[in-house]
Amino acid sequence: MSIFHASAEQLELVESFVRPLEELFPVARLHRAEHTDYDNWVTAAEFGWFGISLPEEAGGIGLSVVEEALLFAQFGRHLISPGFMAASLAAKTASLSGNDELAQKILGGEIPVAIARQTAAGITLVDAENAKLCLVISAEGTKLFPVEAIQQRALLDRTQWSIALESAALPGNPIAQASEEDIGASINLLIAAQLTGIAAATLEMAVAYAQIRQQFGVAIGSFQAIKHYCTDMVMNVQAAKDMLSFSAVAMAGNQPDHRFQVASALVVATRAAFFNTGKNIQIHGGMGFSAECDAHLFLKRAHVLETLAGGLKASRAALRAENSIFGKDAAFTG
Amino acid sequence: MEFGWSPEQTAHRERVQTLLGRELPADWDDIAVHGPGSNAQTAFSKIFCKKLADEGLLISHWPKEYGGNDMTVWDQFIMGEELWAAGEPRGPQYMNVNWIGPVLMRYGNEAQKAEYFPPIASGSVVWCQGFSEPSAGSDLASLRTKADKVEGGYLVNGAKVWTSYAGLATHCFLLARTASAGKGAIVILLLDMTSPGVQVKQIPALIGEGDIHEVFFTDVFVPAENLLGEEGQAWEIITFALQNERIGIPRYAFSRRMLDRAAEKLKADGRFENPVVRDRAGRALALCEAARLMVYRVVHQRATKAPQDAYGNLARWAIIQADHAVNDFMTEFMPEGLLGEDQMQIAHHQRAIAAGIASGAAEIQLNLAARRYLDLPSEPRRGL
Repeated sequence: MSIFHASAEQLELVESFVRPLEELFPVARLHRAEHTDYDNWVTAAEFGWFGISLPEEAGGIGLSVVEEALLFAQFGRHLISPGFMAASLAAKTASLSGNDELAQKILGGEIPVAIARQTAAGITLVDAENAKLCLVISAEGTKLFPVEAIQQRALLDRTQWSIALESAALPGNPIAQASEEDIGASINLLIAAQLTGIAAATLEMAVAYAQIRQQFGVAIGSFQAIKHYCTDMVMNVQAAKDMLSFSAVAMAGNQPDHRFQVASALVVATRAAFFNTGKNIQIHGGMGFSAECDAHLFLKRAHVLETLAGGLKASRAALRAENSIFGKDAAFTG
Repeated sequence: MEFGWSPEQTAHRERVQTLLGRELPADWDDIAVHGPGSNAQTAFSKIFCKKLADEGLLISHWPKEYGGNDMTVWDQFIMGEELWAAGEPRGPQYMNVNWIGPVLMRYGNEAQKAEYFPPIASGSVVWCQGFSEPSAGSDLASLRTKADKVEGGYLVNGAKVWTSYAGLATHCFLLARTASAGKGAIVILLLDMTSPGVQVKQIPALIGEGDIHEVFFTDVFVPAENLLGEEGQAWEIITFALQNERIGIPRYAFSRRMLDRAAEKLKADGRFENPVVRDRAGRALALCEAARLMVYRVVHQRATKAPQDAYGNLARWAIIQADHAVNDFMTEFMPEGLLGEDQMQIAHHQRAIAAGIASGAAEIQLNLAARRYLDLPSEPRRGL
């Protein structure tokens, strides 16, 4: 393994997943109201995608978080349900709680998991209609609940976000839990990876369109107004990719600053995803905000992932807290 | 330029505010949430515009000879600001009174004025603008919809896209191309949307429902008397129309209302104490104010009948910056509203996305400003 970045072998392994991802999860599937990524849940489990970085004796694949981060960047490109991230984090949570049997069942695809974020009022639940377990993320870490324990479920939206969003009350008595200290970096890394994938996919979409769309007799990519956006976008993607890879390597090697590096990767990737998904819409013009075009799907998913991370504000606060000179933000009163 | 409002202007603003307080129903936010083009808001516009007409406020900025009251440019603008801040209860009809009417006054013949003004003045018609096409967005001159000369008029074939309000429109301000060459080939036809061969298809999109459409024309006959102006005059007419269109919508007023609303919400749960939140709110507020003053300068140019310069291009860019700053602020600090809790915030978010695209890609404004305002050379035209 190289010290700073993913090795050629690691990159090659993830390349081998590109084709199945293309076949199983074309982005176009999100235009169909009835689609659900949980149809491919067992297939994903068979590929080992839920347990890439868990040891083989715990039912995982026994690779590192570097491979896992690279895979989740691909998940971001395909806008795969955040439930897949829930599976990985739920298996880790169960394993950290000493419940290896539960971890094995999750990794085997027997128990579909959905993800939720704790809010001031309760939880925001994402794509939970086919799940049996729910992993709730908060500033304190993760808690795992059976879905039937969740009360006051109210559908916020299913069509507009191309994924079901619900509000619900936070249940008590988790069946497994992990502290922020133990699992926070894993959460941040997987979200950063997906946001990086979104930033990369929208860059490619924007550049491809700028090359074919003609106005005033030339490709719009020849206009400085457009090509400078594209250049900003590629810069964002390179920064996010490098930060992701670097922080994953730091985490895999348990470097003392890995939490700081992962927190940085999340902030960089969030900004990259928002800038790139927004500019991709702008470059596509009227087409960009039509439902038919994929552009809006990426923007919306970026918002969902950001919310799962606790918001960009929280991500920046977490980054500040990891810098010993800045220290934790003082709490505000009033 | 004199700063500050006269007592008459303040009284006028209060009159509009009072009217809004009285006429907007309790569930107005629900009606307005999908934007001026939605079915709900279009239906309400017919009630509201009738009320405005009864109050003498619908076309009061039109000259007396056309049923108006010669209201000043500033009073017209004050009214627009208040209405847009309230979510534009005129719905799609703001377009009728803002620019369709004034364009017809300048370029229409007597028969056209007699036909089209009364229904606009009574608030009972919806016009749409048939400008953009699949290959002609910002580059309007490359439009392909054909208007072939036939006995007694034109036969129209082609398609328009991103057409706001077309679903419920009764009339279309249509641009099409005759057999002649260049910009001179474009004609403007005042089309009855019930003409045989007109087909409207809604485009589902991330902005409000019912807002944008495709319109298809298959052998649509348009009588010769529906030609606006002369053949070859279309470009002059469009330029005049777009001057009224570009800053006609005081979007910053809606953004400012949303920003103030956001601050109230954040205060209520103690989040507005955070200096970072306050700093970013201040930045968004500054951009709203900058946009307002820049637009005021353009209104002032119009009020004093000064020639329009590139300042309007800068003002439109400033409006978009303000929209985006308010949207970014709410998105970052109130993400829960965006994910379903606050329909108004979602509506603002959607409209902020479209702000830099609708009525032409905003980047074009920068090109125009660079050329007209800074005397920078145009971008070189490369290999066709």
